[in-house]
Parts: sequence; C-alpha cells; structure tokens
Amino acid sequence: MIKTIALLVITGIAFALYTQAGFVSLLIWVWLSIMMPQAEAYNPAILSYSNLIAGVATVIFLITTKDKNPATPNIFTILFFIFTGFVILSQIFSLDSDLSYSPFRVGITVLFMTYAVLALVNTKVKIQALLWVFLISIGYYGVTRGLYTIANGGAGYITGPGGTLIADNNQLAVGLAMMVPLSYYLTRTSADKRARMLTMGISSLSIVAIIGTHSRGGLISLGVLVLGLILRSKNKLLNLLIFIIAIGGALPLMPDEWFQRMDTISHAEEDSSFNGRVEAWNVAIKLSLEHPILGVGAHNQYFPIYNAHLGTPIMRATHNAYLEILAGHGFLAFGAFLGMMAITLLWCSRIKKLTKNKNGFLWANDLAGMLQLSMLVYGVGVMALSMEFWFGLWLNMALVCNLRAIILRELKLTSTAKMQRAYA
Amino acid sequence: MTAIIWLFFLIMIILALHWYRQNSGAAGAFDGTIGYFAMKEEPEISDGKDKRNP
Repeated sequence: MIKTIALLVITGIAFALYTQAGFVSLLIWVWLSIMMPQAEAYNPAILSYSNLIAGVATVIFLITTKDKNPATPNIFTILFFIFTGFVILSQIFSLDSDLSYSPFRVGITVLFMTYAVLALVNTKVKIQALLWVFLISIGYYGVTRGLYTIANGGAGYITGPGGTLIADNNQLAVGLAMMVPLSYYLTRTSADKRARMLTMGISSLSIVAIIGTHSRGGLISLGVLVLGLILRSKNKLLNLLIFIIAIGGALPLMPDEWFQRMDTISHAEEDSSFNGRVEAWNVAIKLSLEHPILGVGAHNQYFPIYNAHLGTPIMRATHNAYLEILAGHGFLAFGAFLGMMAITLLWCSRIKKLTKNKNGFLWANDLAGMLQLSMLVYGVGVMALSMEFWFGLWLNMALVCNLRAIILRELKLTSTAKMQRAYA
Repeated sequence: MTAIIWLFFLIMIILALHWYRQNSGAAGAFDGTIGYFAMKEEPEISDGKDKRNP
C-alpha cells in the first residue's frame, strides 16, 4: 500500500513537471514503459492508466508544440516509415490476426515512441535527459539483479520484469549490456561526482547481473561490450588489465553450474537448446519464402498450426530478432530494418569524424561512439534472441539520427559565424 | 531492501525530470550545466588534441 501511495505521489510530481515543460511527457512515458514501477506497487491496475496518460500527453505535445524537428526526410526516416508501413500491413493481412495482435501492439507502440523521439529531441539537453531517464529506468533492474547475484553467490539465474521485452534471462542480459555504453557516456559528461558514482554503480552491478543471468548470449554480448570499450579507450593495455582483474576476480565466485552452462558455447552443435533454435530459424526462413512480401504476421511462425506443413510441427519462438522480422513482416521490412541499422552505424562513424577534437563537440564524439557500441552489442546479442522491438535499439537509432541533425546544424552555424568574423 | 532501492530510483527519475525542466528554458538556462545531472564544461582544445582522461 505504501508503495502505491509513493508511486502516486511521484507520478503526480512528474505530471506537475509536465505542465511546465511539455517534453517531460515523453520522459514519463519512457520511464513508465521501461521501469514499469507500477508492477511492484500494491495494486498495479490503479496505476496502469498512468502509462496511457503519458502516451496521450506525448501525442498532444507532439501535435501542439512548435519546438520540434522539421519534417525533412532522410534515408533513416524513409526506411523507418517503410518499416512501420509493413508492420501495419503484416498485421492487416496476418495469417492469424488474433495471435499476432499482442506482439503487433508492442511493436507499434515502440515504433510510435521512436517517432516521438525522432520528432521531439532536437537539443543536447533533451538527449541528455532522455538518456538519464532510460538509464535510471533499466538501471533499476541492473542494480537489483546485480545485488541479488552477489547475495546468492550466482546460484540460480535471474530474470527481468515480467511481461516486458527483457523478461527472460537472455533478453535482460542483452538489454543491460546495451545500456552500459550509454552509462559510460553519462559518466564522462557529468559534472557532479554523485551523478558519476550513480552511473558507475549502475554499470558495475549491471555487469554482475549479466553474468548472473547465466545467459550464454549475454556472455557473448558482454565480450563484445568489453572489447568495444577497450578498443575505444586511449590506454588500451591498462583497460584490458582492469577488465581481466575485475572479471577474473568475479568468476571464481560463480557456482559450477554457471561454468558448465557457459562451456556449452564451444560445443553448441551438441546442445539441445541450440539445436531447437536452429530448427526454429529454419521454420522462420521457410515461412518467409512462402510469404515474402508481408510475412506471416508477428510471431505466427511460433505455432504448429502454421508450421506443421513444413515437416515437424514446433511450438517455439524464433529466437533471432532478424528472422523474427523476416518471417513476421516480410523481406521488405527486413531490408528496411537492416538498412536502418547500417545507416545509423555509418552515421556514428561520420559524426565521430566530424567532431573529432572540435571545441564544444566532444560530448557528441563520445555519444556517437557509445551509441555505435551499444548497437553493435545488440546486433550480436539478438542473433539468438527475439528482441526486435526492444526500445533500447530504437532509442539508439533515433538518437543517432537526431544527433547527426544537431551536429550538422551547429557546425553550419559555427562555420557561418567564423566566416562572418573573417569578413567583419 | 528492494523497496528502498525502488524508491531511490523513483526519486532519481524525479531529479532527472526536474533537471530537464531547469535546463529546458522554462527556468532560464538552456545548456544543461545546472543541477544534479549537470554536464561537464568541455576543456578548450588548443593544439588539436582531446586531452581528457580516456
């Protein structure tokens, strides 16, 4: 009961802040959707409407505000609308619209939230605020699960919040691994020591939590994360040594079952869990070839009624974000998704090049590098996971798009000012 | 224990929202340099090299 009252008070304060700054509605929506604080309150039903209210407030703000990005199309936004169009069409022409409705609803909500980020985030302060809210929201799970892992000596495995896209242990591991680079960026750009301690605490406990998930995909994502952080640092050898000591010190505390599970990565072909995934991947590929334009509808390929004609009927998730899109929404949506990922990864490299050693743009250089690393962690991690609509990825891609627009605009202003000074 | 951490994170969210409001123009500043989540002022690059700690 106390938790419900506390949450009501805090949600009330949040909405009071919204009345003074409309963009806060998007921050509240992201917070309630990712952290889902209402799930831990006494009566979640009372508070479930707050998420809806935040969404509606964001829509109203989006329509009424003049402080938003101009509707100038670029490659990313074109691909984004193509992708969204195919997600909608694949639901309309779904093989079973009742079965595919629930994943479709999640997907379309995430896409709309991404559209709101694309339209509304147009300054450094908004990027920073959104990253803080996202970090705190998912960081809560990193901290609580990390502490649980330490308290239990790594016994049993931890999972994410129920009913979300990071609900299972593997998804939680990839979600947390993606968040660590963003936390590192906030550590580098925060002036207050307490804020830096918060980000470092969240990152450290999240890494412990990733190990505590007992997820093999999570361990591979962690490997990509560590490698990326080392390669992007100036003192590579020192950072390598720090990671070796930290991880080498933590691993002996893990139970034998953890080592036995991780050992199966090296003989995946003998592992029944891996073989089951290969079977599900084959089903997804075969069904996508039968329905190449619009796919079968989100997640319909999971069900024997739609895959029995391929041979052995299976009841299994596809466990690969790319193949989920290919089977669920067709080849064009799949191409648009890959295109969006490729263009944003490329833009990160361009932003880094444009802002290297430039006065006033070091934050953008750091952010582009960490967004790129976060997407690479996702790109590898989801090869064995169904996380195509994890908001962490869509937030990253939208922020890259916005960051590019901010940098191009500010660099243009800087060069115009310099020219004016030169001719004055 | 979990309840205390939960409450701590909710308070952090409010601080983050408040930080945005402080720096959004509604309270006068626009550059994100005030409040708990204030951004660091970047060092001046005089010889073309970023000398911050890696």
